[in-house]
Amino acid sequence: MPPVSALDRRAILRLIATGAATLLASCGRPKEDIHPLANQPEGTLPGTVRRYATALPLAGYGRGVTGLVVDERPIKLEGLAAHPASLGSTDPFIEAAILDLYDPQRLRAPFGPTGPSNWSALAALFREQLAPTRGRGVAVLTGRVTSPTMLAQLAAARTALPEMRHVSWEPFDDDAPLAAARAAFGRPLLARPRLQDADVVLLLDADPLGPGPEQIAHARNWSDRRRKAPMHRLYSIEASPSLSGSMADRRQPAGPRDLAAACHVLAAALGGGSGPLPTLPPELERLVRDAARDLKAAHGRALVIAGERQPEAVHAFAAWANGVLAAPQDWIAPVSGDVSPHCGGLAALADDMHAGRIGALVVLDANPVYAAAPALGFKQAMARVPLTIAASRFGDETGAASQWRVPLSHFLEDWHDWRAPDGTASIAQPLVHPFFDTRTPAAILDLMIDPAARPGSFDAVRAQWTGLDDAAWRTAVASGVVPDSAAPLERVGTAGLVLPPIPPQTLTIDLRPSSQLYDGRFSTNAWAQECPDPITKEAWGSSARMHAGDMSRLGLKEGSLIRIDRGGSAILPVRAVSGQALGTVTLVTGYGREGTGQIADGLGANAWALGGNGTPRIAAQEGGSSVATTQPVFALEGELEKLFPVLAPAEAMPSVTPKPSLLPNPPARGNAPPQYAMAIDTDLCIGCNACVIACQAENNVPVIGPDEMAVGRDMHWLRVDRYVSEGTAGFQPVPCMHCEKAPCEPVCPVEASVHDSQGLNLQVYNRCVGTRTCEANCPYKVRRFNFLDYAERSVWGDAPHESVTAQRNPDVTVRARGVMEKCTYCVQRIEAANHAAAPGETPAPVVTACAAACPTQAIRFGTLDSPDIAGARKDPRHYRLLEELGTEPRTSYLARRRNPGDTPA
Amino acid sequence: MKPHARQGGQRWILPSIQTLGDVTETVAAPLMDVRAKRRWWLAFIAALVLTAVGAVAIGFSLAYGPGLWGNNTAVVWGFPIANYVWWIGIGNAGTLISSLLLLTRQKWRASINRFAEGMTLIAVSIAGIFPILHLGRPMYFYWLAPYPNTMQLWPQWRSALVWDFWAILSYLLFSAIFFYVGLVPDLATLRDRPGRRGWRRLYGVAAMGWQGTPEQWRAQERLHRTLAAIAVPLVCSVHSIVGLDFAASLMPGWTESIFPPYFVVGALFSGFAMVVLIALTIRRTMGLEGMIVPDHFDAMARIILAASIVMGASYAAEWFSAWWGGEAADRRVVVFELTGAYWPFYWAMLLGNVAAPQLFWIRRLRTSPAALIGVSIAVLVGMWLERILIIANTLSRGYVPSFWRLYAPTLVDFLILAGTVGAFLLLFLIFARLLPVVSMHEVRKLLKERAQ
Repeated sequence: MPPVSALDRRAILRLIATGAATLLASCGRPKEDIHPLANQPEGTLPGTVRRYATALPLAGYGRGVTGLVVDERPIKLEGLAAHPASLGSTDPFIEAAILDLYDPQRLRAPFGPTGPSNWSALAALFREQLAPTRGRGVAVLTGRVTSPTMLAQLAAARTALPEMRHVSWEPFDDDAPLAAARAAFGRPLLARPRLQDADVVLLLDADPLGPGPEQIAHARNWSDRRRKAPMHRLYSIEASPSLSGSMADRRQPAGPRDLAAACHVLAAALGGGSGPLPTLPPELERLVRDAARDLKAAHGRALVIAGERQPEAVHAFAAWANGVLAAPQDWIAPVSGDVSPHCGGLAALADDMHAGRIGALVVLDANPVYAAAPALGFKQAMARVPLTIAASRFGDETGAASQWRVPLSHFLEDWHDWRAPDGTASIAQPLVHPFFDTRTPAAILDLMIDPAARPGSFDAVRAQWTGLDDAAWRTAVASGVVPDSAAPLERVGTAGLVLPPIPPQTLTIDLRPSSQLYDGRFSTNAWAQECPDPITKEAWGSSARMHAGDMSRLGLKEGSLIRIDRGGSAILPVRAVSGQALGTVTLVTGYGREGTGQIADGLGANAWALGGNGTPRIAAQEGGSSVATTQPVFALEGELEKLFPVLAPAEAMPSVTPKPSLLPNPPARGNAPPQYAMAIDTDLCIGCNACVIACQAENNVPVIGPDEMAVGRDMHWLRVDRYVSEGTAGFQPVPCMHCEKAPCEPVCPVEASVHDSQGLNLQVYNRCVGTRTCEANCPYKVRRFNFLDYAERSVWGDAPHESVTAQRNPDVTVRARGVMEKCTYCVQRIEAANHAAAPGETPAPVVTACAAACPTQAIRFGTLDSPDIAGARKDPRHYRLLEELGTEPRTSYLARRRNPGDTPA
Repeated sequence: MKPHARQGGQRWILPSIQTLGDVTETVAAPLMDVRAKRRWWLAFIAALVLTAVGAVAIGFSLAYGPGLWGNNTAVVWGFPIANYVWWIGIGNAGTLISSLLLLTRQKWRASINRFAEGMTLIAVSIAGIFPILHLGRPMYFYWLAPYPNTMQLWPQWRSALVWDFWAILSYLLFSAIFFYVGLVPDLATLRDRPGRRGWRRLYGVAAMGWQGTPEQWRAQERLHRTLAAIAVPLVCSVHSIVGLDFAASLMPGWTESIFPPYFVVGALFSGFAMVVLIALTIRRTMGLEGMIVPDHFDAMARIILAASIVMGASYAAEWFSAWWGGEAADRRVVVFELTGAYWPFYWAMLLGNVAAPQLFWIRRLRTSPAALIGVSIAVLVGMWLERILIIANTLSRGYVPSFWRLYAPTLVDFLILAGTVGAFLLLFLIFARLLPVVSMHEVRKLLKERAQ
């Protein structure tokens, strides 16, 4: 037999030893002191969870999180109550971020034009090529920068390289609202609506409950108001169903033309404007008139919100309307240092690059080649720049177009600071030593200024916060927020009325952030990809959303491939979405990635390629392909409406008599041991999917990949069903019902499905032989089967993927092939509370991962006698899913409400 | 083929068979004296290849898991369960023919009961693979048995699957015993015939010292009859319990009290179709025209016709109870059956199970080989479709519309099914070469009665 490798035995042993030593050395706490949130006992117990406050950014804004660390491994991120952009809850992006830390696709070392390189080579390059230029022709491109440290570094860089240019650019920018504020008030300001104080809200294609840095705070504020009586009312006019639109009491689809026209009608109704009014479709007309009536009636508590992606004029109109209504809305100066337009800045940079005026481009955590408007030709422009350096955590399009590709640390690996959208600063402490030879953007800036700079960013961050003495620093780090650092509120004058020009009625393209991938920065995240879209329930891809009427007009069927041209082009399948405005095509961003690795490459089409201007051209393509969805039917009709009841504001649920059951009644147990139950308020669930990914992170739920998803074998223990019932959309999270008379239990031949004394329906994994009878007999279909060895299989291709196993929760069994699994009510947390309680003492309250994540606190978990659960069970809106079957679920629901306030037609 | 005048036992054996020796010669000669013909070898190789393909598919399934099949989280059951129900249905007919017809003194059974019992044994053995194969962790199938263990874990008796485990096991054991008891006198016959010594010695061992003494005959007949009496309830129980796997549930389209009898009739139905196919084949290829006569086919066709009417009535009862019962979920399933994604299969099933057998109202077609083959195949296909549709229709249209998912089998599913058909053929071909396919001693008795 020929030798299998050129290495001899000794060399192999040496390599193994080196590898083992490196592995041992590469784990552990960071060198500097990091501070646990609570007092910890002396020393640490293996296997116990320690919680640290830190923060993560989205679109440059910091959001506080609590990192759960077990044996030096961060395994889960939860919300941080003290932080204004988290309020103790999370969104899918925070929940998914932990997987990025362990992602095998991460960049690990600098890569130069000639191959693998190192930071000292880059430092040398900076010394040789940047220092002599004094910054002339040097450009640094970043996303939105709110980090005080980064801003200071940029200022320092400008001192060292006086002619250096910094461009900050976010794909989802706030150029339009800033420009509108500049025109209205003379300075760039950002509006901060107080949804908690608004009785009537009109959304002009706005999605405050949808994905974005403020989703959690907005959702919490909105839910706080919705819980209170008298019931508030939410109006929405939008092109495509969004999360906010799904929650609206009244909603009308409208394209840009109708939306602008609606502004005219509304202006007239609110006492502004003159002249002939444009015509509106009758339904929309009625909604606008009713909204105007309600807005006026709720003076001081009425709010109009313009969508982020709406043109400047719509924002200006909203500013006027809110002035007239004395709306509950604050204004602040932008917390990012740079208020120059993102679009304009990038366009000017691209021009200069094309013209050869840029000698060196450093891109820090931004991806213009992927997301910039196609007209800029950014990729071609980069080819004209003699020195290009792109820093990112994962391979991306900009990195592929750069000579140097350098790896960024994960946010949990080094020191950072950020400001929240309201300006509150957090100092983000690392939870783990960097796994690879990576640096933060601040450290790379440091390297540009001083090529001898140390790799970590602790010194820079600590130096930035010299105002905090050691004790204050310690408190700020441990609590996750710097006290009293919110931006001061600005007083504004009266905005003049601006009426948006009415565009012609043409086919329009509507780009919006994906609820899973945002602008593409979560494309490489397997959890984010596998999470079904809240509206279409598509996973691992995305179709163009169209009105069924437009589709038949163009001769398209569900799943037909189309090619859309506007600036660039995209080829993707179409899907009819009910509630889509006629004449609009909606695409979500984040798909169509290249060179990012096994997860994202080749999935869907890049919506950013349609970021041009003008009328799009749509052409049917040969063939078709469908994107895997988890839910085939959304509209409930007839008897099925009972599954998702919708009530009028004061209406109560009708009582249901369950069918007789052959199963014995559960024993009366009182409250010892505690009896757990869950109550889910469908009137508050905004469908954001934070719970879905929280459950995945907490419970070691495997990722199965697009092919298995297409077969219909999704493993999420918790699914969020979206229904349109009685004309009202809404979301219904469905975990295991933990039935008192569980249909799954008597049918299991080996008694793997059992009930415990706390009322939990449990699956004994190592007893399960995999007959699947339990799932066949489950009316709710909440059980999940390991058809293949999902826990061991890799969706990351051939790359070694052992690192992701480090994320796994050590308190939760990793399930084998052929075993049934399902929601356990986070039994590991219940048991941890039981263990912590002294004998005879009542265990501390338990929060499941989904309930902890929920930004609106729609999911409540507790014992049957806890105020939350007992209160919910007494609520007139209380119902159980399929109650007539007599399964007596422990998970129960509060019905969706609708407060339409229709004018009689 | 033409049915004969109906007089006494005569019509069940043709006049070409005159003596007891003729009976023995007709059955035993091809076994012992003639080398396997070319077409036997061809069939054997084809069956072997098919079996091997199925074995490879099963091997892959065991290595990688049930994920190689078309099952998904909504339709958690698929081909393996359908195959299981189908094969066990086929396996029902042999014992039923033997025992029920024995008890009701239907003498015509003498020519067909042996190979029908052989068919049962083979079909039940094949069926028995599937409940194990279909498991997520097949290596632990024995956990369904109440074996003593230190953890004191026992199966759960409320589960129909545990009843099923016992039903299959007892049925398989019983069928083997019943088959063997009927076979003993014939083994002795083979032992006593001239032929190759090695074979005769083997038959001799298997015949367990049968000498044909009145004592032995009395004991054998008594045992056979007693076993037959046990067999009838057992046959009914085995498929009733298979029906309970579905009926003892909460799912629309499954919770129907008609399931157990309807499954038993369905089993009888497909079993007879298979017996007809086998009878036609061995009659032609093994020169048994004298013993398996047109009247046999006439009788079996009538049974198939009667069963098809019961099947039709069962389907109608299912539709009626869905409509009459007023359960929206049940109605949705019935509407889905008739018009949903699988409608072509459902209508094909109705065609095969209800419409095609109606041809047997015409006497001529009851003895026409072409019609018999056509209808039998239609029934077998129809019954298989029924098995898979019971699973797919209900599980694709459960209570929550967010989880309405469709089922699409994979190549592996089909290969496993094909493999079991191959294995059935293979085992039957071996059976036909080793053992008398017709019960010589019972036909001899029939001949004797005719003579009297």
